[in-house]
Formats: sequence, structure tokens, C-alpha cells
Amino acid sequence: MPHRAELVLLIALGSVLAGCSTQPLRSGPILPSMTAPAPSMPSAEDAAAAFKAALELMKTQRFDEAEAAFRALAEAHPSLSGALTNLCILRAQARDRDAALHSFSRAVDANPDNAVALNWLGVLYRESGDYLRAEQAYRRALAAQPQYASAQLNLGILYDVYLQRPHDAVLAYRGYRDAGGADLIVEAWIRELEARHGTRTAHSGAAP
Amino acid sequence: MAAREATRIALSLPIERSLPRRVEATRAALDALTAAADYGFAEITTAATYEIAVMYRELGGALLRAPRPRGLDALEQEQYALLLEEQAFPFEESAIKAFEANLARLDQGIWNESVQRSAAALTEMVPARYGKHERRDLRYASPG
Repeated sequence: MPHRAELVLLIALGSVLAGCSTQPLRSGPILPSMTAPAPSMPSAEDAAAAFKAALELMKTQRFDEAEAAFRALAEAHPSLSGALTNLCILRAQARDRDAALHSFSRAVDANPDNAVALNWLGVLYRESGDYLRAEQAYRRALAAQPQYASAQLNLGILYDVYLQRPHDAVLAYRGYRDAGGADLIVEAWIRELEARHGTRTAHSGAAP
Repeated sequence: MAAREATRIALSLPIERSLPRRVEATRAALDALTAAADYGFAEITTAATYEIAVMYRELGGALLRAPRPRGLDALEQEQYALLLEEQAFPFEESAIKAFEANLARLDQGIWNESVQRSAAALTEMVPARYGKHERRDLRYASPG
């Protein structure tokens, strides 16, 4: 029989992984058998090397292998939100929006400061027409990582295109620029909004 | 003036007769606009660059909309359309480059109607690159 602490860990691991899909995972059970011995935990160095290898698989578009590698890593190291997030990204690209929303929500539950997962959530909420939740997700991403250019840009697009809040859009686009986003087209959007809505302000930081 | 004259020449059948007239008129207009763009005044340069881009874009569009000869079967129509697309593509590319040249002037703080319209044209022509689309990371590089 596993110790009580091991059981708690296994149950927690199961709920985190289940967040990456509303469907059962592709190969085999999520959790090892309760009667089987608990898997041995690889060292932190091994985990870093395995993560790097899995990331390389993702980069080279060997998605099935990458998914298997990240799943193994997430099972062995449930506290590594990077493996879980990449697992969710892979599944979000392959499955429907509702499942992806659920997956990233679980990833954020595992790590509330995971700005990449929060940004994904923002985009998915926007796509489903839930602009309020989209705004909240982008803002949480920026609270966790203020210089996260993608979330700044996405917040600007949300205000600009979907919520018709040009003043806030300009502030967010400026935040994108201040975060290192160097696209001239975004600079053009800022000028265009300022010209059209008279939103020129002295503020140059991120949207409040 | 030369630009307007060029765009008035419709591509009609037989295209081998109308196309050279249109191309010749376009070339004359482009020469005049290029000379204007070289004046060195921001307003004139950006306006001329915008017009150059529009000339290229309209020529490309005219080719795509050109009337098809009668009597072609389905396969021949498809091949004819592909041929027109191939001919139009370099003009569209030139248009995009000219619009981008105007957009790049924002780096020097130049913002006027011509730059604004160039940015809008790029959004239409290359939405994947210049459209207002959200960005999301396709990988999470940190293990933690």
C-alpha cells in the first residue's frame, strides 16, 4: 500500500493531467495502478534535460512524440507547469475550444502566475465571445509578467476591435511597445486611434 | 495625371493588345511618381510612394479581373486564370513593398494620410502579417 502522502500526490497529479483534456489521455491510464509501486522521481537535472528534449520535439513538429514526452514529464514532475502548459498547447491546437479552455484553466490552477497559459485563456475567451473573462485573463497574465508583450498586444486588440475602448487600446498598445514589441504596424494603429478618437495622452506605460 | 490615364486603360480582349498599352502607361506614371518621390519632402515622398503602390496594386488587380477569352473549356479557363495570377503576383509584391516603405517612415516619426492609408492597405493585402490578430505562444520554454 502506498503511503497516504503518495496517494495525495497521485490524486493531485491525476486532477492536473485531467485538465489537459476532457477526454481520456491517448495512451493508457492517467494514473499508475494503486497497487503498483510509486514511480521513482527523476532528478531535477534529468527533468531539465527531458524538458529540453521534449521542447525540441515540439519545435521540430514531432507533435505526437512531444506530447508523450511532456505527458511523462508532467506525471513524474507535477509541479513543473512548463510540461503541463506545453501539453495543453499541443492539445489546444488539435482539439475544440471548450476542451482547450478547460485545459488551460487547470494549468493556471496549477500555477496562477503562468502568463503563457493565461494569455492563451484570454485568446480562447475572446474567441468564444466572453470579453470580460478575456480581459481578466490578459490582466492576470500582465500582473504575473508585466513585460509580456503578447498579452499587452492582445489586450490592446481586445479593447480596440471588440470592446471599442480606443483610449484603453492605445494604452495597451503602448504597453506592448514598452515591452519591446517593435512592429511598425502597431505604431500605426496607435497613431490611427489617436487621430480618430483624440486619445493622445502623456501616459506611456501599460494599460491600468 | 499620368497615373489616372494609366488606370483608365481597361484590360479588354484581346488582352495581348490592351495589356501592353496599360503597362506602357503605367511605366510612364511610375517614372513620374518616382521622380516626385525623390524630391526629399516627406509629404511629397510619402504621397508619391503611396501612389506608386496603388499603381502596382491596380495593375495586379486588373490582370486578375481581366476578361477571359470565349471558347475555353473548364481546364483551359483554369490554366488561363493561373497564368493571370502568375502575371499579377509580382505587381502585388511591388505594391506591398511600396506600402511597407511608407510604413517604415514611421520610424522617422513621419505620420500623415499617405502613411496611414499605406498601413490600411497592408492590413487588407497581408492580413496574416498586418491584421489585428492575437498572438499566442506555441511553446512554453521554461520548465517551471
